Amino acid sequence: MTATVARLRHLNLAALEVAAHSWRRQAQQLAECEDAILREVVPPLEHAGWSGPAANDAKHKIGWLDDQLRVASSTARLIAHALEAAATRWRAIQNRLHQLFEDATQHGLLLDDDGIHLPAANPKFIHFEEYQAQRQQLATAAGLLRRRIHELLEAADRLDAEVAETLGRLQPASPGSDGDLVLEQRDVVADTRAVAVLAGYRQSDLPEHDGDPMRAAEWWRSVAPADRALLLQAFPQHLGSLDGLPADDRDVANRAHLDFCLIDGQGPNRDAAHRLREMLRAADGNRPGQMLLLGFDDAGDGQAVVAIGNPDRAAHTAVFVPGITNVLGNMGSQIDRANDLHHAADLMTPAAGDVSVIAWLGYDTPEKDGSAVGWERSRLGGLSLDSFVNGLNAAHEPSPSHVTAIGHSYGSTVVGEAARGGDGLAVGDIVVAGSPGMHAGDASQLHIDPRHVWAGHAGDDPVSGWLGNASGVHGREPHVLSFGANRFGTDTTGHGGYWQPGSLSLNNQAAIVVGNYSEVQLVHGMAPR
Amino acid sequence: MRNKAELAEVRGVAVDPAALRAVGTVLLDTATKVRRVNLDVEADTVPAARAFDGWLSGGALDGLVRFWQLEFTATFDRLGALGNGAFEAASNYTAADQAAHTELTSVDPQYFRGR
Repeated sequence: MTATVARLRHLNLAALEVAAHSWRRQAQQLAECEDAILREVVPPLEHAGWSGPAANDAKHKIGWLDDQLRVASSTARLIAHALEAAATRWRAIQNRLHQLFEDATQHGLLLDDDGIHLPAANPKFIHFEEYQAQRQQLATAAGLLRRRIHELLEAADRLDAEVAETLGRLQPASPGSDGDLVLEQRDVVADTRAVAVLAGYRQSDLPEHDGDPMRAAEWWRSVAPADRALLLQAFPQHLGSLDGLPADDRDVANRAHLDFCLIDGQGPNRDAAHRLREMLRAADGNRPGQMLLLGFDDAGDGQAVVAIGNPDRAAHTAVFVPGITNVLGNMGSQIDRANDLHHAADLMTPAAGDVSVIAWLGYDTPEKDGSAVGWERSRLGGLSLDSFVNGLNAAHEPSPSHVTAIGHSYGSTVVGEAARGGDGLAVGDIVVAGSPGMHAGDASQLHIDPRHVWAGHAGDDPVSGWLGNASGVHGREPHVLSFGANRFGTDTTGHGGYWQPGSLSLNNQAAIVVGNYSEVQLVHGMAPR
Repeated sequence: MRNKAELAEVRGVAVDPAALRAVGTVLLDTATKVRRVNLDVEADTVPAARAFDGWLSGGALDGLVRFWQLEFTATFDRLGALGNGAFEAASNYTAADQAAHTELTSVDPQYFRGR
């Protein structure tokens, strides 16, 4: 055993805290170095007109160094966090030892760096039975306290080993050499998780995905801000898809997960993930058209949830649910539609940033096979959509915003499932376009005032037209009069034209999204006042 | 004597030495900052390692200091070499521009090649 009473008592934990502070400062300064290279070296070098082999080598080396500084900065931050967590846990053990010593003092026991001792027996009283009994009681108390101290020393040894192992992970992989940055970046997730465990967080302690988003939001608010940053990097996949967490934080987690998939993965969605990352980066800093990655999964066909504008701060949020054959590979087209709707809606509000539109590919869409006529995908999708919308409401400050669910094609069956099940879908309006049915006989079954249910149908759209009518598998088409919803006017053609920029089809949806109901041109129905 | 435009034709570009010098300055400043940061963190971590002398954690802290010192010394050297290389390139292009008797292909600093 390494730990002794003396060592534990006199351990200078302040030195550990000073070191932690220093590493945190170093992380910040390294990030500033990286930023300086990105801003003040790379662009001027591109524009200096310098080319040729030497210039290419220099640019390559500068890029490599920039990556190196970024990895070093994130590792320095991890070291700081590990040292802070270690200091906290060491202090807890040291405090328990001090408490045991206080208990011993109260019992009249003697203390020193070797532990707890009985005071010398008084020869005058040693033959008295009462005195002997007292001595026996004291010996029993001393024995109990010694056992507790022994347990504490064992705990100190375990902590020591855990801290040493964690710090050992945070050394550079190949110090001083041109190491493999990809390998180091791959290790970052595992290293971060080790630090999170040292700080007392395990994946099993995180809220479950099928839990109440409101509780997840409360739990997140209870986590210290510095720990939140650590957890987002340690458990990016879990937290990135946890409904109820703020959009900014989900974005950080999902981008980290996306980066990790690109480093690690060779799967079929690699190209699609790469394209998605490029789209996100291209939109960075573009307010109010900033993109936030609220969900990402590269398994199977791949899924992604991308917000245009921040839904936590927007007064109006639309969640756009696509239909069949949509996968990660064609997420770009969903983002384009969301962008067009966002642009149209944002023009109808007084200030930029009032609107967020979310392209929600958060379910496994049917392929062009029998699954498109089944209800299973929409049932599962509906459960996910319901949770996602509850999460939006839980994360929105200070109170839930006006949320509109928009379902296109099979996506409208997902919206229908979410709305008709349980206590309904927590949205202010439901919009469907090109819908073959919503698994409901009429709008009143959707747990919402039918005046807030809106359906659009282009005359030549077969899905909400003859095809939906003939099959009947998804119920009555919501644009027909007997469904009881408002039918908004459309001027576009086909099944996929409803988001054509400048069209009546799009502008009607935008007006609903921002609650401008009097501006919606209706074919039939009654708009809310 | 070749003028600047003729020199540019040799490589199809007109190099701006001032921009290269500015880049060199940033790289050298960054190298200095990395060096200073590392010295600071070393000064603050060594006492912690001493406080844990005899514990496994103390050894791990020692290792952190030692290996990160190696890493940052290398980073400092690389940044410094790149910064100096940028200055060298700027100087060579300026000289070539002024004298206009040297082929641009010969003025690239050798530092970058084969490193």
